[in-house]
Amino acid sequence: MSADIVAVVIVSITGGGGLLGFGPCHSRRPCATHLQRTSDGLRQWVPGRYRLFPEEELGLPVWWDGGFLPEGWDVARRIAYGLADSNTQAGRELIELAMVMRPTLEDVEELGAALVVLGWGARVARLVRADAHGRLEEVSDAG
Amino acid sequence: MPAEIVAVLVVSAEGDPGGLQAWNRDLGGGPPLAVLLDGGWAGYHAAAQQQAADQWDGEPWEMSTTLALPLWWDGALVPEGWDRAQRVAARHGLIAPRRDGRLMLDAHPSIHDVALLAHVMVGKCIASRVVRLARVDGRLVEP
Repeated sequence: MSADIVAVVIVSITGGGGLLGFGPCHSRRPCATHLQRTSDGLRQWVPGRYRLFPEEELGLPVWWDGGFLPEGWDVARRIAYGLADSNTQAGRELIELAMVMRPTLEDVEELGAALVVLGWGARVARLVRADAHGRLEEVSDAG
Repeated sequence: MPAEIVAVLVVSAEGDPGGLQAWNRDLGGGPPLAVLLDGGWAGYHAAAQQQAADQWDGEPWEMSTTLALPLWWDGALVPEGWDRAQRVAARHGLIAPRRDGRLMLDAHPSIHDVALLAHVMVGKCIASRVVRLARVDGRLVEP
């Protein structure tokens, strides 16, 4: 199933701007939006910040179009690096992962899951192309 | 006594061949930027506020204005600027992979480290110049 994953998004916690806030000198973080009220009734993720309704989620894309997204990965890994506890084996492994420049799909999923555990994300959304139009749909762990 | 350097910026070569200032327009991600206005440098957002509202439409600044990627700002590392610079450097072979083949990022450089990388990018024609700034009368200016 992993081979079909074309995007990974760390879903922002409602009301929490930590993943998607502006950085110094107004660096702008990439964003994807989970649209809920589409004309065809189908939920989908789209690139960009298009949240119109409270139930629509925003997230930090760390993998997109089949490859890691440098701007998203760098935000996520820096947060993880800052939170990891170097006194534990798990923390040291997270620090090692957070230093990687060109992560694999497994790397971004692992780091995203760590951020969820650390309270910086609601969940990790794994996206596949759902139809011929390229609609991005979230899949569950069970596929 | 020479003024203390509190900021280091790197100005892209003409046409930004290395992508130091490139934006991801689909996902809305962009690097931090500093803007030269009236002889002093300001962060992108602060500079925008100085401009008349009718000249500011939220889009990236016109390239006719002098822009630079901040690597160090107000006495501290700009993580997003440094990450972008390292990625550009890696694409140009200026960062060597580790023995296991993985490229790793340097998370905590000193101001000398960031200035050195900026100078190397000038030498490789990725950047046109390195800007060092001191705070004089509340403004960030080249000493």
